[in-house]
Amino acid sequence: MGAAVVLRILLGSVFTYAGFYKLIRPAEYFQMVVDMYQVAPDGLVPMIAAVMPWVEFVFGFYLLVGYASRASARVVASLCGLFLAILVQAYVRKLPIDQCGCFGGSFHLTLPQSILFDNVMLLVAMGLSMVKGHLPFSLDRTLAPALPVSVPTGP
Amino acid sequence: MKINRFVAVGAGLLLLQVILVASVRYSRSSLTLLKDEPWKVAGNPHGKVYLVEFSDFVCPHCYDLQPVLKRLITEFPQLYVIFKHYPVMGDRSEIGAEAAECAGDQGKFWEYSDLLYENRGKWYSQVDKDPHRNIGPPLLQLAEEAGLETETFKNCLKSRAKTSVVRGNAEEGKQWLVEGTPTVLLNGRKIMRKKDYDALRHEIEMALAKSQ
Repeated sequence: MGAAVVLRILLGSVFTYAGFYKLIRPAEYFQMVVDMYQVAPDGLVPMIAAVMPWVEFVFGFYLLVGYASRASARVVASLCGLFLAILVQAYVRKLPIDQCGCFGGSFHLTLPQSILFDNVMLLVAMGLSMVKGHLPFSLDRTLAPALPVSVPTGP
Repeated sequence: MKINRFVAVGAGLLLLQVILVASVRYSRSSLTLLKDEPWKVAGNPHGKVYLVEFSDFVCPHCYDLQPVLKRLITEFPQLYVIFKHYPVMGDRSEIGAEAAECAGDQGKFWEYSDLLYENRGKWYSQVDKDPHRNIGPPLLQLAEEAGLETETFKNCLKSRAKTSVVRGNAEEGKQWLVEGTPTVLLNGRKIMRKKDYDALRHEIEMALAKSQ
């Protein structure tokens, strides 16, 4: 259970940071990153670049503080799945991308590193989305009656 | 009541996040890229298409790009070009960039830059990494060739007054995920393909069509 709390906080922190860092920079920075992956039509790039960081930041923060943890974990897992698909297609197509741009210019990860990192985050998010009840150190536990916590241990 | 409290907390958290972002947020304008020393821009400052070049005077492909850009500026009256330093070859690259900035103080940035590109094999290896100690004859010779007042130029370079400008450009480049040179941004989008005349002309035409 302790590990689940730590993982929830870590995963939430990563997404909170990634979303926040993109949001405080000019819109063009992340538009350029979205454009690099060549998956979206030009007309949709500004909208995707505007919305995606908010989704990362809001649900990352919810996960960090343990609010609506299961739902937030599911959203984060969906994001990880989406990012993974985008990264893999870029890798397969051998697009000239030297660093993923996942954290703006603050943190440099190559495509293979990003794919590995995303895989790990996806597994963690999926695990967290299956936790029944409310983990310690979470707003969920404060706002709801105490429930027994069930953490998936495997098949 | 419980659900209302739950929703209220969620809404409160969301509001907190919005306030946090709004209070920290940088200007959303892409004009941050357009701000630089006046001698490092060319073309039409009111043009609909702006091209930012991150360059290193030691880089041969950067040298190849210069006549392409000059031709594009002539052919596209709506084009605005901004030069940014991105020294990738270490301290000597940085000194070369500072030298160009010092030439810019005397209104000869582009002339001196052309000389730096053309003579990169000569000056790079002979520039001392510490200009306080010795600037090196090649940079001064190029200054004479460009018609600069050499004492003023020498004092500017020795004082490292332009270090912050050059490093500021490089930091900007890192934010835009610049990894190498030349890197070209067109209306804020990195040009991923070849940067020859035909490719850039095509990109500019597309950008102009979108801006209509």
